[in-house]
Amino acid sequence: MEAVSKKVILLGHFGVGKTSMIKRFVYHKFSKEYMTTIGVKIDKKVIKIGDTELSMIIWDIAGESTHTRIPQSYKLGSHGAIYVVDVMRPSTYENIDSEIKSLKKIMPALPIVKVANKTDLLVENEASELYKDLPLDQYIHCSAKTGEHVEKIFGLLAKQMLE
Amino acid sequence: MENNQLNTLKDILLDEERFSRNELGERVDVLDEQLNNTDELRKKLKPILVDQVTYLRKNFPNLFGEVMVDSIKTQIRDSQDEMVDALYPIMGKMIKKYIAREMKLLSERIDKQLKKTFSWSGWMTRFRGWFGGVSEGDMVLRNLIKAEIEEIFVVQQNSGLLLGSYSIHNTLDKEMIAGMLTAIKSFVNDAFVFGKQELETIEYENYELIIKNLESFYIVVVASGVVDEAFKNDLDDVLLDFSEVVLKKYHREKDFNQMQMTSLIKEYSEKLNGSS
Repeated sequence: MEAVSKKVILLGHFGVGKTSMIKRFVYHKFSKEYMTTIGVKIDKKVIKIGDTELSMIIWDIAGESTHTRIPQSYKLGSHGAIYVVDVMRPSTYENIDSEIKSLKKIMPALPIVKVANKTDLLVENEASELYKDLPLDQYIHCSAKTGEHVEKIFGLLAKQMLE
Repeated sequence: MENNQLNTLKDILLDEERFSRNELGERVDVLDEQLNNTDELRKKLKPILVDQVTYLRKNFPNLFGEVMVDSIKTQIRDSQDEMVDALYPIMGKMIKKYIAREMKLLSERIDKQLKKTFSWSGWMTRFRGWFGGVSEGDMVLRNLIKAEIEEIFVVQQNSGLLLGSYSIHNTLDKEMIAGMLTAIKSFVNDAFVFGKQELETIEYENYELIIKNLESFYIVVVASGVVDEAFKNDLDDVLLDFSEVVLKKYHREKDFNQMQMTSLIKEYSEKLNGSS
């Protein structure tokens, strides 16, 4: 089995649930307490994709209102990115297109998965109404709290990185 | 009869042309011989070529200087990373050799000065050294705690991916350590913008992390004990040799993997711990 390591970065505004997503994915845990990330935290998870054993070195970067405020050196050398927004806070995805565009300027070939987190906070009817009004169709919806789609998101990025 | 008269007339009229044609034919044969016979052609062309070569040699800077300079400039600009990687071990060794020679001279001067200085402890040390058959400098060094390599990490720049490692203990996940070290380096680079500078050491009580930066990767050596200049000097030598070997493999051998890198690091670490 071939062993490969890849650097993954999580981007998005503060409080969108980047750390919670990683905690859910790596440790299968969720905590209601909010503790803001300072600087960077590194985590690792090994997954199997076909005949490849992939070590995902996950960089949990402190949230900023725009990724341009994040030191560029944290992003350099990344093999994949997950851009997380909060379904309940439109301000976290209002400028998503320009954010992705400026990210692509630095790393044109970077696979990026767009994720709308905290779907557990929406009542079913509310959710369908919200999705109609907001440009959330391009996102994969997930909940770090319930674990819904978290594995799927990291798996999808893993496949894209190995392509 | 008529035919004879006609032939005589032809001879009279065309005699000169026939002679010219024959002469022309002979010259064509000579030229043909000269052109198709390599030796003959070489004889003819040699003086011309020698002249041209002499002319080019004399006027080369004027004729091609500008083009050559532009071409070299472009080449250097487009392959800066490769140049830095290739030059680092060579330049490093040259600079180190020079500094080591200067340090030796300085040390000799200090030794001379010390010999002149009269002090009881100095005499005691000297007496011990004389009886033990070792130099005074060595005697002092022997009193110090030897430095030892605890861990070595070779990490890819920017991505922070671990290329190989060596450790005498069971430590935390090495890939995560490599990532975090890269994050710390990135933080320092971004927080303290003093031009293009790099984090070179981190001190942690009895441990010192010595970082050697190269273009494509960096090496972190975790050492315990007294990390003095002599130790750092030995370390520099070994790391420069190591970098040279690794760079060649890293850039040329596609299947050069983490395991191979790790066994290479182990080999060099043992060399270092053996020499310290």
